[in-house]
Amino acid sequence: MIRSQIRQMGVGVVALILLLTGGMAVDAGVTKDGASKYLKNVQKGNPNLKSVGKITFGPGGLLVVADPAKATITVIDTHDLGPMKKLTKKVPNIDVAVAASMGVKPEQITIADMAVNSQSGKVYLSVVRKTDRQPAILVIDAAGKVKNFDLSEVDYIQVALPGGKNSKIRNITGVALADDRLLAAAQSNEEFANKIYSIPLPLTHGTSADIYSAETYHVAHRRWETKAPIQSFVPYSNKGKNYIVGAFACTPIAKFPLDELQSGSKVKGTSIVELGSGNRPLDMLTYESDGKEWLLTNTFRFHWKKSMYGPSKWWGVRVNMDYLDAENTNEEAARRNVKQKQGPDGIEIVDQLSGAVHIDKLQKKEIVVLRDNEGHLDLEISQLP
Amino acid sequence: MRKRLIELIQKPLWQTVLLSLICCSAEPLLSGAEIQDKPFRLTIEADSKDPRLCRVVVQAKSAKLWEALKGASDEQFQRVLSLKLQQTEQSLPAILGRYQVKKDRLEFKPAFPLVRDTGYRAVFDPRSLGLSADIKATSLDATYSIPLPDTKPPRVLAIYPSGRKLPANHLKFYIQFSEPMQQGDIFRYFSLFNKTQNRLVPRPFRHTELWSPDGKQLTLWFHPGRQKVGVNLNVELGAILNRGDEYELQISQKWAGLSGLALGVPFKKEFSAIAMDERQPEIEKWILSTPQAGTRKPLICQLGAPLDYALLHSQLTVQTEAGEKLSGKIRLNQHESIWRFIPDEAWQPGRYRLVVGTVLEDLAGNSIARPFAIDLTKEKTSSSAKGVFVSREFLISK
Repeated sequence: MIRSQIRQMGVGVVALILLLTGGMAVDAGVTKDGASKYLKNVQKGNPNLKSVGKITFGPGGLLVVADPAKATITVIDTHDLGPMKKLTKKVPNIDVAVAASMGVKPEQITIADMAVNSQSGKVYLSVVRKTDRQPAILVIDAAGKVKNFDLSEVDYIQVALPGGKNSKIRNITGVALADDRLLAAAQSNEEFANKIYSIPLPLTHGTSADIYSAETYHVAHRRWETKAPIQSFVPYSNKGKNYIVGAFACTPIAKFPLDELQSGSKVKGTSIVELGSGNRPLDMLTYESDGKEWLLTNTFRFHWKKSMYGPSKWWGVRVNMDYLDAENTNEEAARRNVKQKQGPDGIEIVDQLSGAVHIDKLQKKEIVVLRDNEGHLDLEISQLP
Repeated sequence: MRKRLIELIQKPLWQTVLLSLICCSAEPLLSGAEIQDKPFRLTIEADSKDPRLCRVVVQAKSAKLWEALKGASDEQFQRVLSLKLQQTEQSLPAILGRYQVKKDRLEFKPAFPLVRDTGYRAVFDPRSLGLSADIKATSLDATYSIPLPDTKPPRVLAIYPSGRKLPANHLKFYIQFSEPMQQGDIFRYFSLFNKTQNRLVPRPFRHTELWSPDGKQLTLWFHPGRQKVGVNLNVELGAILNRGDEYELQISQKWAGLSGLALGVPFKKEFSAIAMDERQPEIEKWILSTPQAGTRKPLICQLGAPLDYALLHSQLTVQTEAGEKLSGKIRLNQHESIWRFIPDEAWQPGRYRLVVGTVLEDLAGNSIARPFAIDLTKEKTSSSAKGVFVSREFLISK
């Protein structure tokens, strides 16, 4: 019996939103495909991204793009609705091809994030050219060819993370579309503070997120309460309550309640699992296998010189989502046995994530992995256990 | 005839730059008659204001020569005309961009500006145009590069805290540069050297880049997980700074600005670690020196200890009794332990308030609102009940 459920927006939600918003989509002049019905006051043109960071796909070809330099979230209707054409084979050294496509060498680019459109199978990369901070969204098709996602004439909405131009938000660590809202986690460049933004649907161009936490906190060993920035997260709901499940910089996985979230309120996380120190969480997703739900996360082990958890500095683990049922602050959150591949029960290193710099879900037990290969990056599909 | 050729390819606002135009027929200099005979001509046109913006243009003798490209895909266009890094493997993809046939011109506009100090090569290959043998079209290529600007290299202008004594639980530095720096993977340019122990401190920084909007100020953090008591990294690896030890924060000379020029000289900030600071700033203990009315002399506020450089600029305001903000300049002295406010207009007699955001922190992240870490076994509540702002009143007398 699966008790917890991560919900992406589905048909029911589409119907509900349509019912609630009436003829809004027509008034806003949006296109007729499903994705645009989540957006209000859709603009046509260039969203003028100043930077690109975290990206994620929602349903109906909606691409969510974080722009840390402008402290905005842009949602683009890619109109990429399939049909499904998966990557036909592994693409070695995709970083070299990406760099060449942008007119530079591989060491002159940063692939900030990767998102997979589960309707078309296409892989989207947010890329920044280090030499001049030129941002780009590039698309890898089934044949492994690199294409530019031309931003000059797209359907989009853009929302600001408070307070617009004067915002001190300079790093957006995560974005996700839950079934009723857009979520973002962001950090300031001055205070050691982290904010969770919750923007209800439909997402309206030109607005500013008005529901956000003042700070996020974490309690270590039920004693030390400190501010803690979230590095990656997924929306999560259980027993009718909504949460963010996020990984902190030092890799405890924690759960934050969203239902009581009010502007300026404090949000305290509940530790669920400690994965081991010296790691930086990167991506997080969920999947089902053999009747169980799993939380999957890949991390970078920055203390790899001290000890390695596998053949690569990038490694990943899956956690049985029963652990997420923990209530209140855990005095003793489950600790992964850092000397073993598995243990305690329901926490396992996943070999398929060895070297995984970025991961995203394609469908069911299939994920796309951007994998480190001696300093270069290979792109491939992996089957999860 | 050469002059006429240049005129032909010039367009309003576009300046043609022919850094090199080489025909594969190995004829570097062509006579006028020969140029007229050639069915295609390849040029790279650079924008007059920004040479990084350019178009690759192939001019045909007749628009009919482009018929094979009607409805062509990007791949088909790329087989005919491509722009690549000059020194790259041929198998690598060409630079992305948009192709257009405009009458007798085939134009390629790169999707992104080109990069300075990098060589590019455009290649025109007519073979897939399906031309008849009598047209005698040959491959053409042209190279293009934009030199680095003739400017000075970037410099580190300042680093805060400016003092040489930092608490052992110090958290962050603000580093100001003379121009925007290249971002992404920057932490390899930083190191922390423990002079007392004569060794580099392993992995001391939080690998999160936090830049000001203009790209000239970086907030560099020590890894908070090692500076926080009780958190796993601190427990397992220990703190970054040891009280009493001497340190050097080092920035490599190899780091380049957006101009492409590197710093050229290494930068060092020396400091020593003193006792940990676990006390919160207390506004009640600040010493205020008030100026006389009718002057623009500063309001001087002695903070008792160095506080966060950036927050001292953003979190303190002077307001009238009615809540109106005064405009003025902020100056910091004595290693950010004295805050001075110089009003734009002379002080008027009356009551004022110094309003302070409670997020104002000291060097160890203890804010007015709460200490950096709270020991829940000692505190009844997890944080103080302070609001977003606190204030101090002061009087400007006649």
